Amino acid sequence: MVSKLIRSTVKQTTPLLILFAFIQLTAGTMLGDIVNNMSYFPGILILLPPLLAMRGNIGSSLGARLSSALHLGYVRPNKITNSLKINIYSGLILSFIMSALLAVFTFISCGLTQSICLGFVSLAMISISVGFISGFIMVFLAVVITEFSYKRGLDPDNVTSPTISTAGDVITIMVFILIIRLFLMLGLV
Amino acid sequence: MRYKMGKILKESTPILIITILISVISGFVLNGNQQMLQMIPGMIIILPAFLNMGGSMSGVLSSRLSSGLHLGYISPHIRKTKFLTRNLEASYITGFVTFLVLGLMAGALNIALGQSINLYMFTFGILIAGLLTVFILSILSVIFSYYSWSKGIDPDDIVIPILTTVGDFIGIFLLFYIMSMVI
Repeated sequence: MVSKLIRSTVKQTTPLLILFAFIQLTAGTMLGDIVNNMSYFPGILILLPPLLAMRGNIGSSLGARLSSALHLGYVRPNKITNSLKINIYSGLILSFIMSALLAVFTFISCGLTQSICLGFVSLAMISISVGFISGFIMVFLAVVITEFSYKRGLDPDNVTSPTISTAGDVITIMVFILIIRLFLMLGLV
Repeated sequence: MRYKMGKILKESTPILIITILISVISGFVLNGNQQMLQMIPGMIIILPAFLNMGGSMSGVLSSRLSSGLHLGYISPHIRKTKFLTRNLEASYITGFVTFLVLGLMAGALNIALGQSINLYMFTFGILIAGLLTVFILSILSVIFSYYSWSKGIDPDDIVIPILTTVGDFIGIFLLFYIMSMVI
């Protein structure tokens, strides 16, 4: 039983991880854009790991809650129930609060370490717009992925978390780049 | 049990704040390595994939460990059992295969994009950095799972967010440290 466990785990995990690695490499290639514009945005890379982590964590726990709710019957596919609304609002509120806090933490730690960083207003505008826009997309994607996998007879617990965290990274990176382009275009930095 | 917005917000906020704080530190490490990022564009290409792999692998391991604890397959005291060692072995095999493939794919992509890198050294660096990350994370995963279980906290709720965040930090640090040695 135990050696079977090894084989089945390796077999089930590896192909999925390799597929996701490929998708992530595409996202990474897009990140080159930020590196090229880094001189206009000192300290911008500090925001990247927290934004990615936040998106994954908010999205995955929303997906996990929704799949439990589907199992329990509180949420039904294609129906807007009260539980669904509460879960969606919570995801959106958390996205907003956490992006604002991220700007505050980054600003404070820039001061503490005396690093050269963007001003607080620019940091907050970038962090909140990237966090909230990608959060908005992620919340709806989490609902769609969870309900779709449930309708297909898959256990959403197995599918949603890795799918949402990968999709979250790609979407966050794309929104991040778009916002930075927008800032450059509007001459905000 | 019905969902209440206050409860969701109250339970999620502390862990999210902790993860943001830790990942801001990872951000500083990343930002401090700007020169290397500009010199070796391959580094930023591989970063999201590299971090995600480490996070996914430790996530899978922690989920299995906490299911094992819930179902009583493993005793709640850290002991070297077959279940534990086989689970760790599975993580290392998965890690070896995935990071090898990731290194080769990323190296090939870099060459296709016109970067002059040594494919073998690049892949070797990614593989070593990846395996070290998986190794450290697997130890942490075991410790956190048993510890939270012994404290009566469901490991499912806290181990994965903590590990993915700590994993980002360890991953970024090791990736830059090891790649600066091999390239």
